[in-house]
Amino acid sequence: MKAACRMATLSLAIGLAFAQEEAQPSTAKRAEINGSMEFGYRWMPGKGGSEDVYRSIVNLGEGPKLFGAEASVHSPGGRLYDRVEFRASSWGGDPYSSWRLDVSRSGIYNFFANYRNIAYFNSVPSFANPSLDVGGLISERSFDIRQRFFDTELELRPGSRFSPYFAYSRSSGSGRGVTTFVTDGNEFPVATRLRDTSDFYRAGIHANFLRWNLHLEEGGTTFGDNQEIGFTGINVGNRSTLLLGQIILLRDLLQTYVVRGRGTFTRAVLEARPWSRLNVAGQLLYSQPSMDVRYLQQNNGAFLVLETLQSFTGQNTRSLADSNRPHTSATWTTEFRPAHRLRVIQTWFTDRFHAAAASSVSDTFQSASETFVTDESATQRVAFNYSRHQVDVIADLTPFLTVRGGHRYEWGSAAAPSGLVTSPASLAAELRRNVGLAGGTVRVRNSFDVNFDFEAARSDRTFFRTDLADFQRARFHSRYRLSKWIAWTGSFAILSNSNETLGMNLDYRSTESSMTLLITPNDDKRWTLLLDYTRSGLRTSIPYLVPQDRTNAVSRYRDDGNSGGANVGLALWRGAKLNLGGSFYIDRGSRPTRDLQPRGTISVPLFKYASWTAEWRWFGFDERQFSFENFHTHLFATGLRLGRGDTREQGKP
Amino acid sequence: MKTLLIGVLAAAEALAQASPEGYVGTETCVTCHEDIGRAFQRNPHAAVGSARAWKGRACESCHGPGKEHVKAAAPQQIFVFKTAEPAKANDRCLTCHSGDQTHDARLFGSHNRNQIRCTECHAVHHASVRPLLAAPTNELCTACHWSVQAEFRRPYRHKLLEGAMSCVDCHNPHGDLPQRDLRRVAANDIGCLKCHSDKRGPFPFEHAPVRFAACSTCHEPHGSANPRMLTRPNVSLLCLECHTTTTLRTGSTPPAFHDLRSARFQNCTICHTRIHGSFASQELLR
Repeated sequence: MKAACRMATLSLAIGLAFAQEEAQPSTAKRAEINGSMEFGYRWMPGKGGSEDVYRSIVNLGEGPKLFGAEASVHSPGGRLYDRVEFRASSWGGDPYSSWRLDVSRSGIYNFFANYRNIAYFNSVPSFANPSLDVGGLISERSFDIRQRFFDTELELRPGSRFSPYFAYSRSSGSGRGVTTFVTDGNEFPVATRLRDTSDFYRAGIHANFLRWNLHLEEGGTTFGDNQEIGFTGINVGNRSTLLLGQIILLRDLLQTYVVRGRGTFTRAVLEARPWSRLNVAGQLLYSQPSMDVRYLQQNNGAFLVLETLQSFTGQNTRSLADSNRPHTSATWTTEFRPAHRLRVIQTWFTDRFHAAAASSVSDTFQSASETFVTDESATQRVAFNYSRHQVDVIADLTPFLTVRGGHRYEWGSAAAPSGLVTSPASLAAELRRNVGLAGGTVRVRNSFDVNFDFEAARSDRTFFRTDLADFQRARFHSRYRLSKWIAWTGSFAILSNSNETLGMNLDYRSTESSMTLLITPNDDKRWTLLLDYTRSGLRTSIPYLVPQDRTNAVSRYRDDGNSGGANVGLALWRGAKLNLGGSFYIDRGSRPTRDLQPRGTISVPLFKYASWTAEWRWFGFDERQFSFENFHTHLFATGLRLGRGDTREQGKP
Repeated sequence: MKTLLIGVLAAAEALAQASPEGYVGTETCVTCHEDIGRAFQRNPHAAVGSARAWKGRACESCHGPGKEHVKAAAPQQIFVFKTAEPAKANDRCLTCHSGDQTHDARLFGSHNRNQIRCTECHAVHHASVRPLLAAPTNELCTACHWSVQAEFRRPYRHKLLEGAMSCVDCHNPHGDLPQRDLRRVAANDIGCLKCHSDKRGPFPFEHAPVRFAACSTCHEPHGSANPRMLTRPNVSLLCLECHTTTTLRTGSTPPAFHDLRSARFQNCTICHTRIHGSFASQELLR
């Protein structure tokens, strides 16, 4: 009987196995493919105001565009993959173009590749412009570059006991800009060509066990910078007066940087649960980047060495430098649950590095009568040690109420070269800060929750004059779902920081309050409404010494920002959708600004897998103090959306 | 008769193997939760159901044995992530996910301290957004951190609302080293340097706050009303707030030829062009 049962069980098992094998091909064939793409054209009629500021803030252009494309293949049981997802957005000259590819086979591998091409344009006439008072509208610190980022990672056997991975990232930037060439007594706006590249390689392994996990990673970096700054012609610079009876001018210039960096880094992470009431985790991070610099400079014109009062017409500079920065960080955390509803979290963190550098500069100055040479070598050392220890006690008093309390102590020391001729060679600072922590969470079912946190600190030493010293910080946040279709959130935060040490008298106070209202009747089918409003305020004052006469003055800054947004979504006839809304930002503080961006979009289905889309936006930017920076423009875009499915994806956290 | 008996016994043994004590199997769950079952087939967690230990019991691998729940047809009789204590709910997820690369500093994270459930952001059953998110990343973050979204409406900002980046490019919501769950690059450099890698150094001539403090010493990382996302509209005041001689602090007053009445000296970066660190000048001039 027993043998018969076993036989029958075996037969059944074999039968089931065959059934599965037969089923597998049909499962594999059940690949689900979705995809869509949206393309069209964008116009910008009625553009007015500052083109440079428009490009610095918005930078959207005209022309044919691929607004977005998405595709996904879901193939359970597939041999090479069971999931492929692809997404691309904003191609056709837009400032933020990207694509991402994810391919995976469950339990075998995860792979992704991600590319972004970002346009950085920044030329704001009121910034770094010494000729602003006489009507000049050219910033002497501006750039127009493209930054490209590529990331890829392959993880093998994800979720298994040992899971190795390999990753590579590349960041490169190239473009043009305006910078200054600085000599004694004058500085000259000149053109610069920017080109840098960074590569990051890393590989590691996760070891996952029932009660502990270990993660080891080793990586390397390389960096290259090949900037060139050049000028030919006559450049009188920013100085409008003679210096010691001489005009300081530039006739030609070539500065070249050949910078090569490299480094290695190591990461080791251990997390363990030795006991059901105890979690421990530790990290050890170490990196050692280094850099070699070869700098060449050749300039001709009429110049002065103020220190020796010698004039010269040509200068040849050669500089060699190298630097390295060993950097160690470590953390140790324990989470202990002495009772069912009580958690004690203790964390310790330390971050310490020193940077050491050596450089030698050789300058050859030529004048009509003589040639003189100066050689200078220098070493620099920057040291930084920072530690913090924090204990949090978290108690779930009831299923609806959690209270928190704790203490944080931060301490450290820092030393850096002053960088200024008249100061001591090195400046040192220390940090000592005690922070008391309190907070709580109230949850009433799933419809209402309130979270609040409070910190109060006393510091007797800080690294910088503007650092947090004696401060109180409070944050309050609540969410309320009034009904299935009305949700409300509100938050308030305040930070008050002061430092009454003699010569400091820092006074800083910021507040931020915001609220949102979301109405989605009938589960988003007919209309939705989203409203939000945020008010932020900042008042700060700190005395400083006026460099030219060492008198006392006070730096005051005020930020009084109001921002909000609204969006109404309407479902029209036969699946057509209309969205109307926009956002505003109005600041009445130290730099009064108004930025309005209303918008409307419509989507009308044409066929089963095709719809027509159109968008209107308006950008209106006003600055009261710098009206020459105002701009306004309409933006119309229209396109076709083809395909089905929504394969939205986001960056992996 | 004997053959029939053998068949019944075999089926009973097979059922006993498929459904250990208290478990009912996915097929039973799907009887009532049909929509979840259908959506779950597209979910990476569906693979759990083909693993040896949880064969045919994918639902119960997270929700626990469902026999009592089936009998009583009451949600109280099974583990529900939405209503469970956050620590307990998260423990269930971490049974498998504690070793994930993104969770390396989980215990350190602010979301862990504030007991935010994994399911506040991750929708395990119905997620259509990678990686199993209930909504696109930025929407999820701003649902709680709404005032941060308002900072991205300031004119000079990181292009988050434009889709050029996402909150998780800079922050690790699962926790990271201090401060503010900021991501790290190359083991322990601040995450800003992943994109702004030309500021990483080490420079032969460093500017102390770039190394000692976060970039937020001078910049508003989300957005600002001031060009270059600076914390002050007037660059010279931004610099002089630190560069005023005070004992036991870094920063010293510039020499007297820096005459602030002249436009040339009202923006320090006209001369100190290498403010993040210089390759060739102690005064950060070139």
